[in-house]
Amino acid sequence: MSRPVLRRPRPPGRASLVAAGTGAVMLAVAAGYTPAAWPLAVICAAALAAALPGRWTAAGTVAASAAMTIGGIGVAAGTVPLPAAAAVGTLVLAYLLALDLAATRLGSGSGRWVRSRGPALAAGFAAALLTAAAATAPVPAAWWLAVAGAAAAGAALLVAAM
Amino acid sequence: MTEHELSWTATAHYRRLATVALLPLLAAVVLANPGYLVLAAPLVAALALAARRPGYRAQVHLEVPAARCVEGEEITLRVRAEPGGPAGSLAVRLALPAALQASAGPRDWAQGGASAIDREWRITAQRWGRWDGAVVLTVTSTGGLFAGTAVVRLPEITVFPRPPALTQLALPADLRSRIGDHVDRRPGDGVEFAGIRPLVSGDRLRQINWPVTSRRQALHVNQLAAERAAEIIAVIDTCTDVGAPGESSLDRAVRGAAGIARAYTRAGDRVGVVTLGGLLRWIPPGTGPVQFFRIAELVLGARGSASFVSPDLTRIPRTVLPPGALVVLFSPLLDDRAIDAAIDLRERGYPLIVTDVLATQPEPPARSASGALALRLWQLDRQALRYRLESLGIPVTGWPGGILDTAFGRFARHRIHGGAR
Repeated sequence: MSRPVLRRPRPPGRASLVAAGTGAVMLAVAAGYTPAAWPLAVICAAALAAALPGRWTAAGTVAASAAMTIGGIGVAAGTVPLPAAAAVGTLVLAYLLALDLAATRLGSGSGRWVRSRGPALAAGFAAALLTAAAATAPVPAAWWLAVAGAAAAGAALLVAAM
Repeated sequence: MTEHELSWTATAHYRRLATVALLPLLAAVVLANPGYLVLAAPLVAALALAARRPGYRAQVHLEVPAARCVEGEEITLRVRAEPGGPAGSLAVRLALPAALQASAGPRDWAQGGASAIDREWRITAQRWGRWDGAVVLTVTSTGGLFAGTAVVRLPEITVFPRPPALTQLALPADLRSRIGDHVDRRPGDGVEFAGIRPLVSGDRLRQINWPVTSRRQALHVNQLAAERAAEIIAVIDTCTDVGAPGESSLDRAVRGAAGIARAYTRAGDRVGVVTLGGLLRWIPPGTGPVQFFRIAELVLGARGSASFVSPDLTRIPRTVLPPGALVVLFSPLLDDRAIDAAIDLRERGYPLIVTDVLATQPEPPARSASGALALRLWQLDRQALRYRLESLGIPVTGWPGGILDTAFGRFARHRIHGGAR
């Protein structure tokens, strides 16, 4: 009879630690503006810890969703100003990118990988700032605005499908 | 380099981004608050930037300098892969059966942002057989939202059994009339002194023994023994295979047969092999190193040839089982068909040695009195079987692995007799 092979749990890699650090900043910023949502912050912290070894990446999705919900509660309560919401959204994106880096477990070329994701992060932050600026502009409700939005969504779908 | 189609699917990163972005988007629509869009905007922008599914292929070059080796030897495998378009990361993973172990470096390797990936593995063959493997190439798109996968099959890797050493050769009493290295009882043209006899017409003068001639006052010559080759047939029982992979009864049987083939072909004898399963397969006796590799090729097919059909030894041609050939049966002695075949061979007059290759025994449940009793009865049953075979003139030897001399040393002291009983 062969004895089952017991594997020692692998220590978290550098990419996992970077992801956990980014997640901690994300949680601190989101929870800092919305202290009332502390139960969600606890869930987020637990999910961050669970995602650290890199084996259960679904925990990372839970952590990002929890941070996003905390930010949403803050937006609804008015405790999170729109620039701060843009920062929270960008930090959530940064955390998900770092989580992807940890899950990919690169043997080499991590620097190239990070540089290749830089434009996505910058575009995300710019998009968040633009959206924040657009959201503060007083735009009256109009039928043409709804049509333009639907047309833009359709065009985006077409571009994505091509 | 061969071109391979990549099968593109959305990555886990894509699903994560979409899931997390969906929450604030839904909240913005349901609660009519554009502030939520600010939260979702970075994720939506990242999705939009890299949402196009790539459609390119990949060039993969596999290099296996030698796809044939002996158990314990290493094979080098080199892989070079180039995606046909921009890639965020490239990963190669080696998918091998348990019989082949990648001995250096991890089986999977990923690198980011490169235009090509180059890896070399050294694979150690752990178990004889013909094995398939594959290299799985995964290319992620520049945004990391899509992953293309290609499975590239390795050429079939043939692992020959490592023949154990055998120096003390058991021989049949009746050596065939072919010139060889073994001293026969019959007089002939060998170099071994066999006796002295009076000169007869046709004897050569150089054979005259002058001291005896002067003493006896009549011409006497030295008589020399003939040197003949033996014919050995290794029979492998493939009806049952028990034990851990790599050390199972069939693994040992095949290694033993390979050891017999190598030792006897080196001694200039003629060796053949028969696999005794439902499907009888054989190689007629032959000599030389080529015969060893013929036998090794045949025994590779022994695994998986088990059947419920009883082997019919009468189907084996006389050229494969020549009369007087020494038959060495490697069997765990668990299947009645193999035991009946051994008795049949002995009754047909073949000198026969049965090698018990069973190295395991049933494991009764811990602290079970009836289990221990059942094990004891099983052991007694095995002893009774051995005694029955010995009483029929079939010597049974156990081979626990290692060198074959431990099993066959005692048969090297005298010739194995056949003859009908």
